Amino acid sequence: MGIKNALFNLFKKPQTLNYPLEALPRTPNYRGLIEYGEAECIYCLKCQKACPPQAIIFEPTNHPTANPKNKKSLEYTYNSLLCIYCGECVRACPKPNEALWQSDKKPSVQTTKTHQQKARD
Amino acid sequence: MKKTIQIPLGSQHIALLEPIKFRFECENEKIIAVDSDVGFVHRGVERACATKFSFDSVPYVVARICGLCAITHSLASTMAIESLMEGEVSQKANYLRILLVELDRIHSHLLCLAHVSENAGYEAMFMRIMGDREPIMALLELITGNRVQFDYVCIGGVNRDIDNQIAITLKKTLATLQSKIQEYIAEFSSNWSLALKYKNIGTLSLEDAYIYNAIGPLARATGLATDVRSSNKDLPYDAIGFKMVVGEGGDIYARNIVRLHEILNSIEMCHNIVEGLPEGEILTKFKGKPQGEAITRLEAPRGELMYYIKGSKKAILDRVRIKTPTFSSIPAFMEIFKGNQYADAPAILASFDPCMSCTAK
Repeated sequence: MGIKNALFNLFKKPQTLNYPLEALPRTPNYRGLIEYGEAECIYCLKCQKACPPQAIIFEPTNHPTANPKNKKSLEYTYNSLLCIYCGECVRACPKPNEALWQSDKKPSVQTTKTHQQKARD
Repeated sequence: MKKTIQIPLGSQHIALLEPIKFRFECENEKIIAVDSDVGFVHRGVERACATKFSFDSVPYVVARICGLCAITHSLASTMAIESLMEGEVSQKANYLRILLVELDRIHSHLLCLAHVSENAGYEAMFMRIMGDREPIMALLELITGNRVQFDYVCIGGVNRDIDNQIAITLKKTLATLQSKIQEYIAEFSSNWSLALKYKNIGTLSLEDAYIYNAIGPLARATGLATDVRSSNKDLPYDAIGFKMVVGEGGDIYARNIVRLHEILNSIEMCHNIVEGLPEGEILTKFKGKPQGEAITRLEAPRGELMYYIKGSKKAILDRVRIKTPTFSSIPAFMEIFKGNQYADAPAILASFDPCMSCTAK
């Protein structure tokens, strides 16, 4: 048994991938970045309420926005480092796939400023 | 003159993966008394759940307690919250919930067996088991979209359905694993460094298992038939072919064999779930906010996991209390060490499959 396995393993391909030279395989159901379509958003703030780590926050701004439904001049901010990619926001959204959807993209290492950083500035 | 010496094991030790500290009182090489400390990775999860997060976020927060049994934590808390609200979970969602719990049990047990092999000095076996565990992790990623933090269970059901393609992959992967587990059973019961070396080492008697309230595979290896799955009325375990696995001897060898047979039973249950998956919705709406008190018990890979939840119709719960399997087993752990050699302590500890991030939470 032992010798058979040892010989088999000697000629077997390694189980690990040569990352980063080889790309990691991505499953079809991969939970990636949450993406936002501002034109379709109705500003009901359900996604903000549903988000467990509060990665989605609508912040008040001074400038008026193009969307007529945005009466309070809110700006959508999303912190991909805080996000746990659970998809609760997309399930809470009344217009999923139009206003909010889960893509298969990875978060970039260089992200936009977090809420905390913005508060500090 | 003092006859005994004190030797610490942990909190950082080459044989330990997680921080736990034991202080052994030794007479030459023999352990005669044990003292333990477990609170090295306390994160205040219970407090956070009762102050910062609303009740529908709690299942996602408690899943972060432990990477290995994330699904049992989120499921136990979800079931406790659901029992305080109005609504009913569909049978299909219940089946899918069990599927995930059992897949989680398979990979957790495989990890434990790999560590036992590693501590026995059988590195090649460790590599083999970890290699065979990988398809199960890939399967979990395929079903839930993530490798470790599944975020699969939510109040009212589950987040994702399984399609035909996933069902075929699942059956194929489990069939391959089943034949490998049979090989492991032969290896774990006949190989000297895995089996015979560990007979009568780290023994817990049936009587002591009762006295020290042992749970999970640790208790079942002694012959104590205790498993929450057999008495669980919320989840349809009877319908999918759950069988209690009971060993005898209560030593490291018996614990390994019980875990291997439990994996076989879990594979069988997963097959039955996929074959007989009922039709229906995966998510139903629950109304209101949790009011009252609820207790849920669920069999995690290491034993009984208990959740106590108290709510008073507010968005934030009044109290969340978690009793994890490793925490309940610590008195039994300490008893087992007594009378054994210090050199065997890391191997005995690995055979308990302790989860410190669960215990300290």
